[in-house]
Amino acid sequence: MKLDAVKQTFIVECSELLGDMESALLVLEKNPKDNNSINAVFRAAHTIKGSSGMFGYSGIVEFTHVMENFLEKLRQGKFEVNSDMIAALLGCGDHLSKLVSLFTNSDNYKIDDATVMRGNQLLESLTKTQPGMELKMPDKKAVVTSNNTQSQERNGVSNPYWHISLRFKKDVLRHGLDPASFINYLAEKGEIVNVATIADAVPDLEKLDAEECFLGFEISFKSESSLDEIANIFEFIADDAYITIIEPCGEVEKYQELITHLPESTERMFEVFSEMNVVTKSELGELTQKKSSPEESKVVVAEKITKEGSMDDSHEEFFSKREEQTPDEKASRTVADTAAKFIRIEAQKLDNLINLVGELVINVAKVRQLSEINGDKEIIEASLTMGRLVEEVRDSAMNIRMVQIGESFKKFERVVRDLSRQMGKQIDFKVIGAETELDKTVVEKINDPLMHLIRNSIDHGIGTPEERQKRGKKPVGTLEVNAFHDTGNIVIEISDDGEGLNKEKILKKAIEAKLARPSTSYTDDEIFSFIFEPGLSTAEKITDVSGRGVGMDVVRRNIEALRGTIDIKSEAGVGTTMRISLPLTLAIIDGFLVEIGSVAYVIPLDMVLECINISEEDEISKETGNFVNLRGEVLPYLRMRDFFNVDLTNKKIQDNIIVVRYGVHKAGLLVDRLIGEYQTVIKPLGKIFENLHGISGATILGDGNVALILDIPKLIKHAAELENVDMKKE
Amino acid sequence: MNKTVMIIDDSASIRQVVGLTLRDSGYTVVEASDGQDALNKLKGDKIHLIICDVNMPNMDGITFVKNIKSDPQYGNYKFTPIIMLTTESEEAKKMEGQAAGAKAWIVKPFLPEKLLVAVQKLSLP
Repeated sequence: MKLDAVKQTFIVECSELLGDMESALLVLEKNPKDNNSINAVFRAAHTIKGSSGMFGYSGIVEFTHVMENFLEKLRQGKFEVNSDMIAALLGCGDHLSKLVSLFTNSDNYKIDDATVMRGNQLLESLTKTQPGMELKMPDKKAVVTSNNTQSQERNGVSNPYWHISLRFKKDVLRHGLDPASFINYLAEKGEIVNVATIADAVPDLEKLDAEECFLGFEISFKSESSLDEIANIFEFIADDAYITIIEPCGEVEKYQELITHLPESTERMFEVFSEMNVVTKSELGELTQKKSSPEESKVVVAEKITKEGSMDDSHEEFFSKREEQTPDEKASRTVADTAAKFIRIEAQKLDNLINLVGELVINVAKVRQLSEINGDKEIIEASLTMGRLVEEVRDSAMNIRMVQIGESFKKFERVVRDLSRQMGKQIDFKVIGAETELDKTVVEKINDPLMHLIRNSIDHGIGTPEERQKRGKKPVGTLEVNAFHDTGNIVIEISDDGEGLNKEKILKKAIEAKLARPSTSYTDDEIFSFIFEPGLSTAEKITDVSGRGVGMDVVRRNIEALRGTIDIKSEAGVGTTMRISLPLTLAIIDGFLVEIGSVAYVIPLDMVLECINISEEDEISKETGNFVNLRGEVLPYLRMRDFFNVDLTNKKIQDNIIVVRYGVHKAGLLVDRLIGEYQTVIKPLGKIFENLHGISGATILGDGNVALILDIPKLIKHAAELENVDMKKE
Repeated sequence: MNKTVMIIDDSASIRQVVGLTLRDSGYTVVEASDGQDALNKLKGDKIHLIICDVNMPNMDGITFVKNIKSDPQYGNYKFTPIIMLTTESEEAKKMEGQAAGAKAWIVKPFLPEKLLVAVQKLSLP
């Protein structure tokens, strides 16, 4: 794994954490006492700080550090949540995501002054929400205060090496610290010239507790390192050992003091030091008199231990406090439990899998066809079984790509909140069906259009509380996003209880823009569809939210690119509903294979309602127009032969009408032959063909031929138009 | 044989950077995303050293340390060195952790090299 990949993880992680933080803040705004949300916000700042530090991004570290301090105080209940604070924290979150994206976009990570300024302003505004609260950027200097008082050469011993004396406390092993590993590490940093193991404290075997440590070491160490550097080696074990380090040629006094404090007798240490050539007899000459009795030194050690014992009591207090906190954490725990059941996979890997499954599906069709032509019964049977299994594999593979649409709805909550504040409106935002699943690619592509529609609803649809009260509505407007499955499609409805679309105004604008003719009368659907034309906006003034007239046409284009449709229902004074209907997946569908002329076409099976067989005698003559009587219902239909200009007048083939449905519209398609169900791997047609009327894609059949996929929504629309033309003729 | 180090942190990027650093220096690395996950993984592998974050969902670092120090089913790890990762704002946690028996600490944010040094102090590869 390369560092780049890790950075990618970091970026993804940050954006997820910031997303969590945002939703937690929004919850907190409604329910300021929610501890889980406070914890979630804290954790986000905390984790981002931790991981950005590893990459050395001090800008992010400093910023999150201040946030973290603030949030820590909030977590401890030192002050209360208020709306200014939420606003400031949301701002901080946005700033953080900007900092992270700066990091994404350049190898040479540098924050410009303006960004730093903006960050500082945000932190200031955050601090201001709590009077008397002081938060300062961490002072990076003066972290290490050097206590390296250089030895004066006066009275030094001749020993040219560092001398390190270690006595371990009994519990050192229980604390997971192995004295030997420190000595090994010491050997990495220099040369251990001499080491004496002091095993005097080891008790008799029957009294020995194998979990305790009784050893001490005296070490002569050759190194260019400073005192701090050597002391640092023993950083972790410092609490669990008595450590004395004496620099090369250290003063006699230091050795004398060392010997005084060691639990072993003066004679014993004297012996050890002489053997190690640490100090010579003459250098230590006067020491013998100065050495205090061993009992006394033990008292010193004992005192130290009792002191630490009392510290342990305070730890007990900490533990009991913690126990009280646990119920708070339970909720977040269940969330984490469910989260643990997911695996994160690179999207590319999934795409590869889907592509392979697509190829597999095509080839199974081929095998099945060949087996039916050449094979015996058993091969046919086996190929059928294989086909069924592959179908299951296909479904499971597609299912992996399915994600809950609710994830992307989360973002809208923030948008609604910010916009409604900005415009002085009160909006109750509801999400229904957040757990509805659809293809990840579709989710990504539908985000922008949805966002646009929501902005529109807030800007144009829902009025200010005053306006609403004037019209006898409750001051708080409702904006609802509803997602559900409907015959192989997912439907997302965005409804508001605002003013509804103003038909007259749209028509006027459409005529001004030369999209409509003043003389023609238009149905509601037609009028509403004008708003999807480029360059049409009914907003009185252009705000930064909407009203530029670009947007709705882009919305429609994006949705149609996903083989989806958008419908509008609107009633003046009651509200507007935008209904987006999308296919669940983009890659493989169940198709219905038909023949027009001698060429095969695919109709998405979800859209097929029924097939009607029409005998030669019943064949509808052209004079009857383009609709048939389907059990008393007028059904417009298209003669597909005519539609694709297939000349087969000399060939009499039985005609079939396939009744297809899309959304609320129905139509019939007159085709020559029905072939049957077929698993269709959708292959895009490429740029040249993107404006083909009535064709949405292509697929490869088992025999290697290409079949075109009919664009049913377009065809239905076309059939309905023909019907209208007929009606008008009459 | 390589020494195996377990890194427990809820942040995937931290795990990855730590993993990258330690593997480069000759350690084998096992990753776990929280205390509970780590306890499950302890049953399988021989671990020579544990690096553990304090603030984690599901099971935090302190609870994890208490578990391996006191629960006999993790007896094999009673003496395994543990490095805790914490921030300076968690002084109280640090004391808690030390009382639970984790004596080595690294303050977040840290540079990977610093962690490597700490790991080497406790257990050379």
